[in-house]
Amino acid sequence: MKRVSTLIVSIAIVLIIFFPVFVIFEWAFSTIWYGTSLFPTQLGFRSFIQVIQGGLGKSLILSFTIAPLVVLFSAIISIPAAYIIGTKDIKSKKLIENLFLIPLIVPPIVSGIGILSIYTQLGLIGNYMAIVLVHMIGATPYMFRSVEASFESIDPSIEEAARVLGATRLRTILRIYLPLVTPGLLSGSVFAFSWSLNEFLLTLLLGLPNIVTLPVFLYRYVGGYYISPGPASAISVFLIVPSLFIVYLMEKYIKSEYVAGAGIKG
Amino acid sequence: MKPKVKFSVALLYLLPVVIFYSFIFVLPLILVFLQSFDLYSLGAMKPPQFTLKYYLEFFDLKGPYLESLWFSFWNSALATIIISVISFFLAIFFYFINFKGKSFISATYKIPLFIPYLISAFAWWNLLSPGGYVQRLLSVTGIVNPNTLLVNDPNGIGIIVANVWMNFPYMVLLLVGTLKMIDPTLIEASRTLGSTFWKSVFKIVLPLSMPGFLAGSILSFIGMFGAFSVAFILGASWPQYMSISIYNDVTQFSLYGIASVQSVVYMISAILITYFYTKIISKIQGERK
Amino acid sequence: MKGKVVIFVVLIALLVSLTVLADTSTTGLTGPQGPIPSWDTVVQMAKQEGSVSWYAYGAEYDKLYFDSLIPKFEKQYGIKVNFIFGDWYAFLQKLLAEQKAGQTVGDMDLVFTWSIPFNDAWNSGVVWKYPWSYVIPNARNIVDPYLLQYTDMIPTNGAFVPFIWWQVAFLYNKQMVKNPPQSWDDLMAWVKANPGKFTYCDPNAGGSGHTFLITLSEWLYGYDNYYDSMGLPYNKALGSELWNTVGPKGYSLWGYLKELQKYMYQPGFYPAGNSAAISLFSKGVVWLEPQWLDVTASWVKQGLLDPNIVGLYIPKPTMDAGGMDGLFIPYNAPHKYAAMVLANYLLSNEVQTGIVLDRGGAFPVVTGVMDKPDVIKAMQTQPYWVPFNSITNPLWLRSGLYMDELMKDWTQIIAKSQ
Repeated sequence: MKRVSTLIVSIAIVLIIFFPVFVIFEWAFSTIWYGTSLFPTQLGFRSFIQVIQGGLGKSLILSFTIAPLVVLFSAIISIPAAYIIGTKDIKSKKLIENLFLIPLIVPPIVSGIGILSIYTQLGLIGNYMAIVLVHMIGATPYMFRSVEASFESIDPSIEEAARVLGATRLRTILRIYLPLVTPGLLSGSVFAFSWSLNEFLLTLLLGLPNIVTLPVFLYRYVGGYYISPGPASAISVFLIVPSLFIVYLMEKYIKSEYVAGAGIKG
Repeated sequence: MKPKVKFSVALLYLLPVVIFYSFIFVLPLILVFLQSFDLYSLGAMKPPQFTLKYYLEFFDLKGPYLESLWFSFWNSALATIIISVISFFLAIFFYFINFKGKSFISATYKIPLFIPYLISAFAWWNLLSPGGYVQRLLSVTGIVNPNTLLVNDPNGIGIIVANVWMNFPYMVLLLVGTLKMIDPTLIEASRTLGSTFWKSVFKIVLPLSMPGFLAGSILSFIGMFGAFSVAFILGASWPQYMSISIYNDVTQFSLYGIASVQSVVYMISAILITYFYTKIISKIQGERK
Repeated sequence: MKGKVVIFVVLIALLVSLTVLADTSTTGLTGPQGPIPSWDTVVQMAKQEGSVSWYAYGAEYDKLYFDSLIPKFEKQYGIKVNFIFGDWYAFLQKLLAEQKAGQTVGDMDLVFTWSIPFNDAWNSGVVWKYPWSYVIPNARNIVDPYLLQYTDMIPTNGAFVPFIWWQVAFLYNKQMVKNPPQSWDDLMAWVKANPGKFTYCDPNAGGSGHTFLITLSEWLYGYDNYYDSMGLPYNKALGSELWNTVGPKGYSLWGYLKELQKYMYQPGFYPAGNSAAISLFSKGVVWLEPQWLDVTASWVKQGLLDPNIVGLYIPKPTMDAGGMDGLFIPYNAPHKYAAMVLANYLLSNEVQTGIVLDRGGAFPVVTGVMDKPDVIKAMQTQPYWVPFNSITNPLWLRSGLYMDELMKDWTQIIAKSQ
């Protein structure tokens, strides 16, 4: 009985997860698929060629250079905060931790229209660094929470010992703490990177017409007045294939707790 | 024992984060708030003049805005409930059962976490549109009337389906994590005393995992409540998610006044829901102790 | 104490930034003023300017076509083109923000947009008001000089030049429908006889919807009577009044649409845009709908729409022409001469012919293209064209302002009446 139900559940999971992925691949490789037929009647690479000519390379570069910067800067501003909150006992600790959740609770469109006004006046629409800043809004809470959790788990007597031995606070942080909080930094970086790669609405509002990241590039084919399923799917394949690798690799090598929370990409 | 530190000292370390969020987050919210009263103009130049007319427009019972807010709420809430049920059973499955190929299945269900929302939404739009595979399957098997719209429909069916697919992995992960924190001897004891597997699950596992699970589900709900891309691809002309309504008012009609009011209410709703939800959870936890 | 000081400083900084946002200024102003300069002077000045920024919108096939034009222009004139492809709304917002910040030198030299945002831009004062359409030689080839003074019946005073003639027609399934409604008079009867087979898209989400709407209203009340009773310039109150009044065809506009709705595909459901509508058509679910020729062309080219089922025609008396979306120069454009030279190039016979042959599904705005042999041949062999004279005889235009009103009212009266 257990065997059968296990099998049914497993098959169900595989089907439900892969069905949408399958459809995307179908569209990506189809060159003729009339609405009346169940399957494409002709396959080819035209959609891929179309998106490559349409600027896929530039979007890939933009997305994959912005994301590391977002990771770097959110780490820089999070580490001091995570240090002080994680290693010390402060009265308003809970309050501060909750405050960090607010950027994740407030719907992005709300801050978006405000930032739109500020950026237009400062001439920052379509500005690369300005977009990096905007991605940091949602990335930083994740980075902070991960790093803080790491700081929390460190025995406070370590810092005491270092102080006794004459190390300055800065030295302590750099030479002793940073290596110890690496797990938190790593998982925080995964979330921050993922957040930046997937960020869509704010980049759409504030990045056009210069900063066309992957999601905005994809939007050109699925949003607005025109829907082109072929090219949209081709772009998706570019994103899904590496993701599949990462998922199966992570399952093998990294503990799944680190993966929890990589959602909420709005 | 962690050394105590005064808040004013801590502030120094919090400064980078505080300055960052002040300008990139708090300031825009202040401007939106001011625009909702016409005290500031997000769009073209206009002399400021205090007015409540946008608020009156929003709270008009015959108007579209309250309806939009309600739709965003119940649609996301329903999706959360469905996700919770599915995730609970899947978490039990992963926690208790070991089988060959488990790590493959365990990795597979996480895939939606790594696919951008826009793409997932688009894939489901394909599957659920008239003539799409899932739509055909459902109408051929008689589960759904062939004429029923599953996407861009007034009930947001497509939105719910896509949201469930995209968010259940996160909840499963959360639940598995919570399950791991339950003392396994409790379940063993219950079985020894004669309870069936499922009875033990519902009497012991469910109550114990509730707090952690509820705390996590609120973020999932709020994420769906405030999201844009899913509603954008799968939503109908009416009713609309509030995020879509605000976006259209700003990008198509330049109606900054009403867009700001919607934004303010939207934001306050999200915060209030989160606040009361967490309060209720801690109360339940407190009573239990 | 330290903490309180820090909080204070941050608050002051926030307040200061609020004021800074209200003030920036730069200098610079270019462009001819006064009498119309000679074209040679213009080209000379343009070459001195050396570059031009062109902001355009459209579908993927438009972008591909525009991309192909850039190198040709750069080679011919030696003027560098900075081509930005985006959406018309963002362009307008950018201009308005620049104006608000007092920027007298902006980034945009030539902007491609349509009637309603142009009108918004004009009313906000961000359009360069010089009648430059009379400066550029190729504008003399415009199919109708009226189009240099008005776009969708909105006055342009020569500061707006049409560029592409996009056209809506009736798209019907050639295999399933042997007798499509030949005229607007036949539409209601056809839809009733074929329930569930007609649709039109949400007018706020797609132009095929709002062009259908305005043409329908013009037919219901009589085109000439329509604009006599409505009055130009635009009078908002007159619109709402008229559309509730029963016209010579026996319906009021809203009455007609509500009646029509009962027999449409999934009554109460309106596809969320041009693509959603043509998607239903491609699936054979819907057999008749108003649709853009260029969208049809794109879907056929992409292998999404079986050309064997594509039937396109203009119901009698006609379908509103356009929009003939076009180009304007912002008030703070730093390269106004180069913008004019580029606009002139875009109106050249070569570029306009390319719109028909390369891009497909759109008509030229200049004369001297439609009678070329390869154009005639293309229009006969490709499935996504209608005979040109079916649109020009008679030639009906959309009124941008009444159309805008229709779009807003439609959401209240039709969409929400479920």
